[in-house]
Amino acid sequence: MATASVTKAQADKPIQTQVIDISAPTRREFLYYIWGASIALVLGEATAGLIWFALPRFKAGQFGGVFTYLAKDIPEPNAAPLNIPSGRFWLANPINDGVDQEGFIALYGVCTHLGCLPKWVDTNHRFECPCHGSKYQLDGHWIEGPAPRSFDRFKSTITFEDGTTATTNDVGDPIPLNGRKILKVDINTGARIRRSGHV
Amino acid sequence: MFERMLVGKIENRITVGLISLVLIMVFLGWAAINEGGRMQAFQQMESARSIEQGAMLFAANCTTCHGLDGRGLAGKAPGLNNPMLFGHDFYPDVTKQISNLTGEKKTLTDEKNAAGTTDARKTEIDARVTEIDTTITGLDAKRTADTKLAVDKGYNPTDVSYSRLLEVGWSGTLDSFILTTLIHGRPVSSNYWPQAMPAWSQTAGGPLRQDQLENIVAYIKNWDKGDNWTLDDLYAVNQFPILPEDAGPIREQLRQAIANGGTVPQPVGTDVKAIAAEVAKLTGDPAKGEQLYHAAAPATLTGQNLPCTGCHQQAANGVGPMTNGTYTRVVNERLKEPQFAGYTPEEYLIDSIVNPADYIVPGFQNVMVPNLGTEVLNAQDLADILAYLKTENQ
Amino acid sequence: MSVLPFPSFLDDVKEKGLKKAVFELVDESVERLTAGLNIQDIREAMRGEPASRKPNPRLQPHADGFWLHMRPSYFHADMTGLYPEFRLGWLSTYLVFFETITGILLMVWYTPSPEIAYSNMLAIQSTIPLGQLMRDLHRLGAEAMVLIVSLHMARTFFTGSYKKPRQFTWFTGLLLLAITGFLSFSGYLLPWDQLALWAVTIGASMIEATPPQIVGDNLNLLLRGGPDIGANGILRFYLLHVLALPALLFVFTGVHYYKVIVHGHSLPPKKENIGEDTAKRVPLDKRVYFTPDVLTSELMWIGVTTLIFVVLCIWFYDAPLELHADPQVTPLGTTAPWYFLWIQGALKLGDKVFFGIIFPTIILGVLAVWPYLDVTPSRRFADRRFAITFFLALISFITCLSYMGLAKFGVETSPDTEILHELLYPPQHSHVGALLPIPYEQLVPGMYITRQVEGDPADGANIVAAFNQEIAQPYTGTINSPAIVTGAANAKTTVGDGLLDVVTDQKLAVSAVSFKEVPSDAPELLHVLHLFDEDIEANTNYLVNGWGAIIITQNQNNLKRADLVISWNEVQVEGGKPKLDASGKPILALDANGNPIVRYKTDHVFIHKDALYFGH
Repeated sequence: MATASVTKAQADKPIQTQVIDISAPTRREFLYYIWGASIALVLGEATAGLIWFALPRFKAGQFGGVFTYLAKDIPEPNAAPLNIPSGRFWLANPINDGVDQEGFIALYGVCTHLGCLPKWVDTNHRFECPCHGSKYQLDGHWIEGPAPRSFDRFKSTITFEDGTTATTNDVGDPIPLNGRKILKVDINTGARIRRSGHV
Repeated sequence: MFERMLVGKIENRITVGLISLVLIMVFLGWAAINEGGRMQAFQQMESARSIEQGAMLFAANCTTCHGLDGRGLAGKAPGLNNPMLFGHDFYPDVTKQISNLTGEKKTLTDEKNAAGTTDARKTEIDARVTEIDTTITGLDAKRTADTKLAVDKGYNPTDVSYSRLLEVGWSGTLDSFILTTLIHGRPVSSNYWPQAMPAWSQTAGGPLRQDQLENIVAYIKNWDKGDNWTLDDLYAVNQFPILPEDAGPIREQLRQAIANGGTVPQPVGTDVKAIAAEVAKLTGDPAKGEQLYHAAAPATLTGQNLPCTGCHQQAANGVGPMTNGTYTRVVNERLKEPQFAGYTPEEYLIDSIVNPADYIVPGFQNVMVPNLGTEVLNAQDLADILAYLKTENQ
Repeated sequence: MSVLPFPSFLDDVKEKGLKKAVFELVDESVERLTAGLNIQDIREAMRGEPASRKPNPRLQPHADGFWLHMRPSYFHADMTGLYPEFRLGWLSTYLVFFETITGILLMVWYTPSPEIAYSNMLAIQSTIPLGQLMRDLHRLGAEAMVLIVSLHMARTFFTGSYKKPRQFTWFTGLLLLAITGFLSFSGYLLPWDQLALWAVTIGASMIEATPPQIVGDNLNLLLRGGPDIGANGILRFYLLHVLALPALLFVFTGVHYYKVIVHGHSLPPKKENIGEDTAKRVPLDKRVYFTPDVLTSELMWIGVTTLIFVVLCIWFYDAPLELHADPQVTPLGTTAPWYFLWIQGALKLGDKVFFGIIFPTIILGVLAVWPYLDVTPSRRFADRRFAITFFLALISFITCLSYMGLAKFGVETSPDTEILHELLYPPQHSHVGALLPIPYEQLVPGMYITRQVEGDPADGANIVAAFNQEIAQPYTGTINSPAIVTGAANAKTTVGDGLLDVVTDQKLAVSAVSFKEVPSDAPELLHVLHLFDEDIEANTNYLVNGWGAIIITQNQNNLKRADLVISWNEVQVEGGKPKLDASGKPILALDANGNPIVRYKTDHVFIHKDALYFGH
């Protein structure tokens, strides 16, 4: 090709060096700079306003509420948990079998990985996520899979037949029943407790 | 390189481009010609799948009250697999006749009220109006008597009450009626059965989405038989929306059912051995049995009187075996026949009641309805009747 | 003498006669409309003759006209063929317009709302003439566009066309690839079916992973318009899909193509050296003029490509539409769109911040700066062994990750669930559970048992009778049927009673358990029974002593219900796998009396006469 030699010549051309002017800006130049800075600030403010404008907001009580269940709704100890699809949570009653923590717990049934809804697989006695295969124990503890945390849970208050009450602690552990008879359970889906990891 | 060979020449490019456009036109035309059929097939498929989805939802949410077959459960919810819901008139001729008579009556009344009608004519008109009223009452009474099995559960064949939509004065379509009921549920009033229906739509605080409700509507409407509804379909319905006029027995039955912990007593079924075992555990009351048999007391389950004496009267009448000496005949004659080897007299009687067509006594025809075991009698009623029949041992 | 105060057409008519005057008027109008070509010029171009006027009027529209101002007036002869560019860039541009046109047409019938979006889809497919074709074209075009833009990028890499001076062209191309991906992805949600909702839930949750948490949470809220995808979410995705992203796409398509023209199309590696200006210095003998040569080619390709799409969409491709979106149920086997499978695969490896955000960003980042790092002067394959190895490795890596992103990789659940799903699942990814396509008339009401297909087919009746007897035998162990689990049942004494209990719990009007043989005129039912049996046999470690039953009942006049039941003896399970003893046999779970525990699992489906599951 005839072009090859031309290119060679171009490639061999010495690189031109340039002297960069580093003198102080003139007044007019400086005015341009601060004008530019103000444009950047206005755009920044506009962006912040835009985000404020577009962020969804919630009316009080729109999200979450208190669900109440009676003793008959609570699953038997170690039995399959009860799904509440409208609130996307599960009522579980794990026992201390060396794996689970004992007590009553309301688990937020959304996978902490990417938001799919794991199903309870009774034969394997665990929750299994249909999307990326995360698995959780009956007490919500992470078993395997890519999920970064164990199931989140909802703050619940149990009223026992003897009139005493018990509330979920700050880290969201199951509420031990210690043989007491449940009268009713209030699940507050507005108060979600995130676990800090695979605990 | 094949490209150079094929379309290197501009003429070839033009030809290929031309052929492409012609083929596009042909194929689009072909698609357009078939589009009507395709759209129709898709609609049919879509409505079929909508019914399937509705069936899933109905099975999961509705059958506890409306029954597995959609025929309703007494005291819980009305039948939806029900000619009344679809506005089927079993007596269109009567309806037409009554409509004509009502029209005539109105014309006559107008004539009577008009100025210048002579007294003689007025008397004539009054007589005719009375005649019309009597005819209508008679026709309605006959319709009501003919459908007594359903009337006892709340059906009313007269006026416009044969159609649920006309009865409530619904001006919309059946779809909108069912959908609205699904969305909002139904409260109860003194005319209605005592159990309310919850709201099912998410907009009304229920669990289901609008599209799911529409699927359920499609499923319910799939019960429609159009002109092919039969009276048997009507009788199979376990409850109609409005309480029957004579609601006493039903109310009592419901009250008792609720008192018994909310469980509705079950009919005995048709399994002779099982029924015999169950009945053996109970003590039959011959006096109560006699009342039941002679329609002096209603059956516990249905609140209706039993139809036994319609055929089986005390003395022979040629329609059904006479009541007198039933037990004796069973022991001395029926059980001697080879096919009843191993039967006890109780089992024979039970079999005759719950499976009437299994064996017909020579000289008679089977006219007994086969629903006594599956719908009418509970174990105690049956035990009472058996106890009574055992006394017929002359 | 003019009748008007200025020279007019009428004067021309007077002067030259009507025919000549009209011709001149038309000729002049054509020249104005084409920005330079009169009728004579156009006819010469079509005849393939050289232009008779000077300067060449065929170059004029490129200088004066809007439509051709961005098209070069001539191309280099070495790149007008299929090789070396395979028309991938041209095809991408074609698809931009193709998607715009079909998309605008679909907008006529679409409302972005969870209440009606899905019924819009049904309407488009059922009551709008050519609606389904339009939807198929748009969907297939979208999938093809992602594929073709990716191939275009791969081709550019392999031929080293990203090298100086085309580094920035490559960068804008990468942006276009990303925009194409997001366009396709944002369109995924709009049909509002299960596929849409969950694929997009997964995708949007990746954005939630952006660190730090407050940024991720708020980005997620901004995109979805709420904590879950609902009315706000579908509207936002719609606006992205029809406004924001197309606007970006058009702008960067302009930038990209402008750069292509400025630097010239890259020639095959052998024929062009780095820094050579092929756009402006095409040798005379290598020039292929746009009018008429390239223009004719392009018009031909528009016809051919459209024809291919039309043929594919009429006969071979149907845009998927699954069940209505249900935010309360995630279907088994949910996956991201195929072009995001690699990210989904990576997500299975672990931390979603790293694998969902950082890892794809790194890959895109490396590709973006690659031309500025790879400054070797040669574009020949032989001199770029590292770059080509790198890219092949990248492709293999992405392919492996994509394979890992498939539902079957790493998301297995218990065999009983899997088997029922495989036989009963509703249409999903253009597949459907094996039972659904059985012709309606072959679904004969009755109870059928997988044991029938074991052993000699001629002996089916005896096997079924023997099985009926077997399950009627009293059983002293635990039967894990619903009534017993809830503690309400009294002693169930046979396995058949347990089955009846399960069936009753399913609200199925069956009063007794009595299996029968599949009628001889229902071969497809028998085939499904075979599949069912094979599935159970394939899991003997789990489903010990397992059998399956199909119970078909008539629900309405034209509607049947098929219930599937699996029964087996429970084994001890650890981590989703059966525990095995020393000899490799599964260890049975025993009840308090030391008897095996009988378990059941059931699921059902309704099948309508007209449901037409794929071809029947």
